Parts: sequence; C-alpha cells; structure tokens
Amino acid sequence: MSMYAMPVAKLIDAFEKLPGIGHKTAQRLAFHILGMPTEKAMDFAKAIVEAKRTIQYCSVCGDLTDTDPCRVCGNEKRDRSIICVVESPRDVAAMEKVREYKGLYHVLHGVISPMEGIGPDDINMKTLIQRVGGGETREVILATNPDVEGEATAMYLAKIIKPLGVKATRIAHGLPVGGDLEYADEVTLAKSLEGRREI
Amino acid sequence: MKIILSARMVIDVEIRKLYLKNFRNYREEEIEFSKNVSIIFGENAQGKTNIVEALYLFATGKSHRTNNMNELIRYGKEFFEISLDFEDNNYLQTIQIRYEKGKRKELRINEIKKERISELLGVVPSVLFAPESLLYVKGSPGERRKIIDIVLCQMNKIYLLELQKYNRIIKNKNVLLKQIQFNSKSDMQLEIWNESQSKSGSYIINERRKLIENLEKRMMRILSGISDGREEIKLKYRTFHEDIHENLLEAIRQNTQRDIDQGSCTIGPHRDDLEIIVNGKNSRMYCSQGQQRSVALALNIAILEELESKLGKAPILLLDDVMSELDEKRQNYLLKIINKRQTIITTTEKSKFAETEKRMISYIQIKDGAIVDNKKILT
Repeated sequence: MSMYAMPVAKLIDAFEKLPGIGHKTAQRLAFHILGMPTEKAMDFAKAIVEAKRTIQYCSVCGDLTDTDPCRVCGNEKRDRSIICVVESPRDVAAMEKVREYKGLYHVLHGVISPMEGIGPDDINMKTLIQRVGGGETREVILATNPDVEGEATAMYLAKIIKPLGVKATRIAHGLPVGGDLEYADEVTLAKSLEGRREI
Repeated sequence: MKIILSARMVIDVEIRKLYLKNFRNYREEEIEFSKNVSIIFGENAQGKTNIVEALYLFATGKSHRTNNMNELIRYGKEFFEISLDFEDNNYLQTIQIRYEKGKRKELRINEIKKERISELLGVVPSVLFAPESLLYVKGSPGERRKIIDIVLCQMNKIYLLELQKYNRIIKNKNVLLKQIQFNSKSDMQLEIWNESQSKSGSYIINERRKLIENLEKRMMRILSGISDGREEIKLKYRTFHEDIHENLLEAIRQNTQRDIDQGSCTIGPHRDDLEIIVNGKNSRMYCSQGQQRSVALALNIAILEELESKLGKAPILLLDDVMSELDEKRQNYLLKIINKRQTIITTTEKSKFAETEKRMISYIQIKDGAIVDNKKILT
C-alpha cells in the first residue's frame, strides 16, 4: 500500500536494504536519481552492473580485484616476504593510502566469532596458511581490529604461523598521529601509555 | 600501569534541577534541589523512588531496580527523556538521557551527543542507600559483583572496557564450549579464548582486589563508629580458582573438561564473590539483621569515601527510604555524613529531618507522579 508508483517504491526499497540507509535517506536518494538526466542515471546503473560483473576475489589474497591475481599480488616490485592480514577489502584500501607499506596482503573476509557462528574454516584462512607455508614469507603482520574477535583471530593465526618459522607481529594501538594529546579519550591514552617504548 | 595523581582538592558537584518526561509515572515534571538536603516526601507508591532512580541513572547509566529499560518508560508511551542541570567547579552544565523503545540509550552532555552512554560515568557520581542495599550482604554473589563493578566503572574507564571485553569473551567461549560438547572433539580455538579470558580476567580480579582492600580499611573505621567497636570486619575476594591454582590461565586450562561438560565457563571473575566476614563468620549466613544493616551501611559509606578520593568529586547521597530502618546511633552517624554533602532523601514522614543543622532544605512533595510542592526553607 505504497503511495508511490511501483517502480519508485521498488527503487526506495532497494536503497533501504543498503547498510546505514534508513527509510528517509532511501527516499531522498531515490528522488535524487529520478531527478537526474536519463544519461547520468544510466551511467550509474551501468557502474553497478559492471562492478558486479568484473570484480572478483583475488585467488591469492582474497582482495576485490578486476584482474587475477590482483594488482598487488601481481606486482613484482612488492616485497613478497611480508604479508599483512586484514579483515576486509576496505582495510587494504586504508593501508594502501599510507603508501608506506610495500608488502602483500591477505583478506580474511571476517573474524573468528563463535557468537556469530563463524569458525576458522568460515573465513579465508586456509589459503593464508598455504601461502605462509610456501617458504617465501618471513613476516606476517596481523592487522585485524583491536576488538575481542579481532584479537582472538590474531592470536589464533599467530599460533599457526609461528611453528612454521615465520615471524608474526601485531599492529600497535594507541594515539592517532596528528591528533593532539589533549583530544585523545582516556582509554586510548591509557592504552598508549601501556604500550609505551623507550626512545 | 599506575598513574599517580598529585593530591588534589575535592570539587563539589551540585545538582540543581531534574527534568523528567515520560519517566516511570511522571508525565512531565521539573524538580529543583537544595544545595544541601532535599527531602522528597509523599505517601507510598507515588513516585519518590523514581526520582532517586533517575539520579542513579545519571551516575551509572543503569537503573538500580531493573535491567529492562522499557520499564522506565511511562505506560503507553514510546520514549522517556530525563535531564539534569548540575554545577561542577562553577560551570553550569546539563546532562541528558533519552531512551526510545528498541533503540539505544542516547546521551548528551551540554547538548553535545556522546557516542557511548558510558561517557557519563564519573560526571555526576552518586551513592545510593536503599532498602536493596541490604542485598550487598544478604544477596547472591552476583549482587556483590554488581556493586563492585559499578564502583570500579565509575572510577576507571579501562576497567569498564576490560569488563565489556571480558563479558564478550565469555559469551563467545560459552558458545564454543557448547559446540565442543556437541561435536565431542577438541578445538584449538579454545586455547585462544582461554588466553583472552585470563588476560582480561586477571586485570579485573586485580582491580577488584585493590578496591576491596581499600574498602576494608574504610569499613573497619566506619563500623567502629556505628557499632561500639564490637565488630571486627574482613573483606575477602573469593575466587574459585585459587584452590586449584594461583594463575588464572593454568586454572582455566585445568578446568577445561568441566567447562566442556557444563557447556559454559565455570571459573573466572564472573563467578567470583566478595565475602564479608564479621567476627570471623560470613555475614551472609551468620549475622543478625541488625548487623547486616550496619555492614551494608558501612559498605555504602566506604564506597562513598572511595569514590570521593578517586574522582576528586563529592558524590551525591541518595537515601531512599532508609532512615526509618536505622537505629538512633546509625542515624546520627549518617547525619554527620549528610551534613557535608548534597543529599536527596525520600521519606513518608516529612518531620523526621527537622533537627538537621541550619542548612537550606528543599521540601518536595510528590503525589501520583506530580510535584505538588517544591519549596526551599532555611531551618
């Protein structure tokens, strides 16, 4: 019993199913699209279809890619002895922005969480262990999030990786660089005190 | 890691005005408090405790009567909103909590929306003396863990963080233990959760021990003031694994089979207890009603002192219908404490507090979820 014509209602519904979009925002987006020139709307629709058609998971690292292996895995200039393990493709994008990191990645697509019914076999872990066991790797950086499940996943991986004779490291947590000390919340500040080091 | 702050003065936090909308049996009311003693009076079941409950909510983020926030919404309504004007170090501020059915609690401090409700901890601290306080002595271990955790969370945000982490670890591990029980084969993952549990758990146990040690010293002194010094008090943090092993991780490991059989974590701080021992006996079982009252009162006063020294702020005293339960000696001891701090008292009889010293007293009369009268008198 929508008050909109069926195609409009369908479009609103489609937006509303996206994460972080409520009914009002979905309406706004739908009407914005209806107000676009036909050409622009077509481009938008095409972009969705094309991305969906051409993007796949890299068979090596599991990141989203339009080539297989992906541009990082296929790049001969990257340091093949280091693998940075992250939870999602978004984390790869974040790390790449740094431009500091020259090693490879591995995307888990999730973390171990018994509560959510996710075990080690349900995430992209097996291929990682195969990669690490391949002999090329010297260090694995465990860059899962610092929450309960991210920590557990990092610990689990460290337990498997270390016996293979490969160094396992965990990224540091603490103060954001560029932020003033005075703006840091107490917990972050205390955690960074805990992880302090001699200079 | 310990951060030592230099000795500092205690700042007075003064609550000024409480605004209630759709909260319990209140439609929309505003209550002004005295900077000394405010006496909320009225007959039973009119809504006196609801005011205390709202103030306690500002201190802890939780109700002392229920875990179900929906119960706090006025019948037939969808949300409640409460706000509190208070002065901290000559700065007039407002703290607001809004809760809508099915949504998260929303916190605003000085109209700025805060990410987490926990940001209110330590802002307007208060200590509640209520008939329920007797449960600290008489009740289950869970009641004592709850009050200890509430006190620690108000003083230490890291504790709060670790406690939240710990609870999540336990939930995860319980599911895993049930899976292992069902599949009857061991899982390498369990060791990871054991390590996580013991890391957070050891921190929690350590902080609780430190607090309990301080509370014990304070309670010894306080009890001698209210009970002729005949009672000797000891607080003992009782953790079930100590009989098995000093080290939590070792104890957890040794207990694995039992955990799997039961499908849940059977040892750790979530099962610990605070034993209150009076004259060598566990006060939970072996004390008279009067002794239990003294102990509960002493514990509350000790908590008040501890919060005050750690936060550098004087907590608000909330006395919910407790004066009538105390004998004269205990009443007098409590009055001495009241005289130094902002206090909110609920009572059915208005007259009882006339004898307090010359101070500003607010009398607030409540009837059926409405303020009938709210006036200040200098006695």
